[in-house]
Amino acid sequence: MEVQHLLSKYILEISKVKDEGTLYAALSEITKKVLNYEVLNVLKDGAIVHSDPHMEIDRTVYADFVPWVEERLSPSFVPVEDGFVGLIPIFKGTKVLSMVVLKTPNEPTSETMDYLQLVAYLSGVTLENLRLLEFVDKARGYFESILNLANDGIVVLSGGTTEFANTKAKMLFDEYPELLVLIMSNITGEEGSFELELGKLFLSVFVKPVRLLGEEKLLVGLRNITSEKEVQKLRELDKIKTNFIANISHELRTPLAAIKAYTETIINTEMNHEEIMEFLNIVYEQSLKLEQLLNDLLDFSQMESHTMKLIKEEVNLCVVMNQALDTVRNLALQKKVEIQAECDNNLSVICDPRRMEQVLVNLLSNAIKFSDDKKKNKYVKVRISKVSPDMVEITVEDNGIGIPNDKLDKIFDKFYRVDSELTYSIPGTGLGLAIVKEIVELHNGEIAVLSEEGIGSTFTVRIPTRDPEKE
Amino acid sequence: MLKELVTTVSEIPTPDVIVQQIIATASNPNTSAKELEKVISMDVGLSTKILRLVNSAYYGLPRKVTKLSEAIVIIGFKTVRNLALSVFTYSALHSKQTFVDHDKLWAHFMLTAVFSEQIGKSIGFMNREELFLAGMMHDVGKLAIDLLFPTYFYELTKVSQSTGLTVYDIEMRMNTEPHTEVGAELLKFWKFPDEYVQTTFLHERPSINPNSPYIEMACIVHLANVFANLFLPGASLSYGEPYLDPVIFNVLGIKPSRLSYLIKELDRVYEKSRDMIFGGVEDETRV
Repeated sequence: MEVQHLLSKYILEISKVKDEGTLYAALSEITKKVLNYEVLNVLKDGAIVHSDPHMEIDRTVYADFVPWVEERLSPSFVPVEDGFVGLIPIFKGTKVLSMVVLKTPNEPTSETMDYLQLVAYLSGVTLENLRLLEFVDKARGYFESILNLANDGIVVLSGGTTEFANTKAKMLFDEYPELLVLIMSNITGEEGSFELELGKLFLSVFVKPVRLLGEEKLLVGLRNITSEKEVQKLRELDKIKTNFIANISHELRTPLAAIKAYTETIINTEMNHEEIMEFLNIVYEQSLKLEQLLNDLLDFSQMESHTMKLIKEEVNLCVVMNQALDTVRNLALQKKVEIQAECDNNLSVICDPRRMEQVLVNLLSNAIKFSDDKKKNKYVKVRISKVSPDMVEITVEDNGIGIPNDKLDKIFDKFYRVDSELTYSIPGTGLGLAIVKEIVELHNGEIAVLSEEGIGSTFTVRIPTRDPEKE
Repeated sequence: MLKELVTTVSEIPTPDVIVQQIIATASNPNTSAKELEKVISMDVGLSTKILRLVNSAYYGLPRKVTKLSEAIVIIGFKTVRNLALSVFTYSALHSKQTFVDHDKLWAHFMLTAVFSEQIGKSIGFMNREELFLAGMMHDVGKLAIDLLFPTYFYELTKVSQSTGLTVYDIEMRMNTEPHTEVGAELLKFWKFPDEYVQTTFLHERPSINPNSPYIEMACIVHLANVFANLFLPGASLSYGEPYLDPVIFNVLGIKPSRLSYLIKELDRVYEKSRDMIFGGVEDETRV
């Protein structure tokens, strides 16, 4: 009964142990009560891991029995000069986890050996669990170090908090503290992926729900795709440039072919003066177009090399506007677009008049070119006014075909045309608006656009009346 | 009828006073090695026979043990008790010449005993000494039948050999009391604890009573018996393919695939125990 009590106490004790040392201490205690020993050693892989008291039992008297006991898996007592050396294998299954060696002057009874065997069984189960826990712990560290080597951020979210983040993910979170919140607001709890843009950083985020022991978690993978994005942009630019060359060649060819054909006719055919004049007018118009194209190209190359220079002087913008209107008048007549112009008095501005005229011509000719043939009263309204003592606003409003919403942010890009691709339904290099923007910005101004597809567009340019650099 | 006879007929040896005393002493938890040694020493030849078994290759002790008291604390009280009972069983088997080969039966008894112990060790059964003894005793019913009706038992083994049916199957078909029941009755008479009686009763078909408190022991001995019949075909005087009761997989919590792995361990044990199985315990000159 007393031993049973001891065993219950022992089972309770070892169910709480967290480390091998505590287990061996409890094991020593119960063994001492079952069989009074002088010394007790616990061997693990041949090394002493626990000793009570602190001394080593002479190994030469029992060493040859150790492998035998490990094979037999039963407690055994080796008779020595002044008593017995007991060997008690702690094992699970057929695997010996450690060996208790004790020195006692007392001869063991049948019961002693039975109880020691029982203690060995119980301890074996606990010891194996402890070793497994230790293994799980080490394995966790091992796998974490593997995950930390990954070049992608790996995060596990559980119940709205970060349960695990590898080194790469921690680095990203340190650098972009708002990143985690941004990810959280994008996840749906379902498997999927999305892209995030944070300043110059582009991330591809992959989310996958995982379950561990019934607990729902989210595995989040973060891949830095900034360089891929840059390459992608460069590729797009390359494609645009190719389109541009094809486009511009076509644009140059058309007027040139016209000039060539008309002059050829004049040279080879007998014509009266009237006919010749008519032909020469066409040749002149086409050469103007050609000139315009070449000017655009020149401006563009200046833009690219950032060498565009402004020649600023004090001018009346209304005068500039009228010159621009003269330039586009013919086009407007052809396209049957009515031009309404309004200009405040006394609009004296420091600017480059040639360039400002170019801005107006470009905006006006675009408005005319993209007029909507389905509408009866096609119009373009241009208005120049002072919005504040030192700010002038130019608006060009039309009821043309408008610009699709998703293209609005791109129309000021170099080479960009909404109809894109090589349709040529409307002639142009795709440089016009890019040049306009460049000129406006060189004047420290800004340009904005409002548009609705099928209704019309309004371009608004604001430039300061005085050149801040000069004052 | 057979069951009544085993307890009354003098043909069947009973454990003598010394053997009974050994069993009692070894089972007393407070027995010391000295006390057990004293009891065994009362039979002059017994200590020598036991020491010879202790020093056999099966136990593979790193040192030769010459004193019984040392043997007892090294290999354990119960193992020494088992060896004393092995010696008794051996002499019981050789008490009378009949028409069958008793050395064969001894080999089967011993092999089943060591296989039971090994299977117990392999699956983590704590009372391995009990398994050894239960394995040793499981077919004692065959001995009893042979000693009572030698001709009948001889015919039984002949039929088994010619038909390829096991002795148990023939007993079942003839509707006679099988050797399992006779053996259980004999062990009860010899005052063996209930676990041995039950194991002997169930060893051919543990599924007869899956609710027995000793079902694990019965299943282990059943499995050991099957393997012993495969290792030494005919040694049990039962021929034909041994029947493996599928209940063991559930009771012992093992998968059928484990058996092929188990067979390798048993082969190793078989090699180690050859001198005990085939040498018997008579040859005292080798001590």
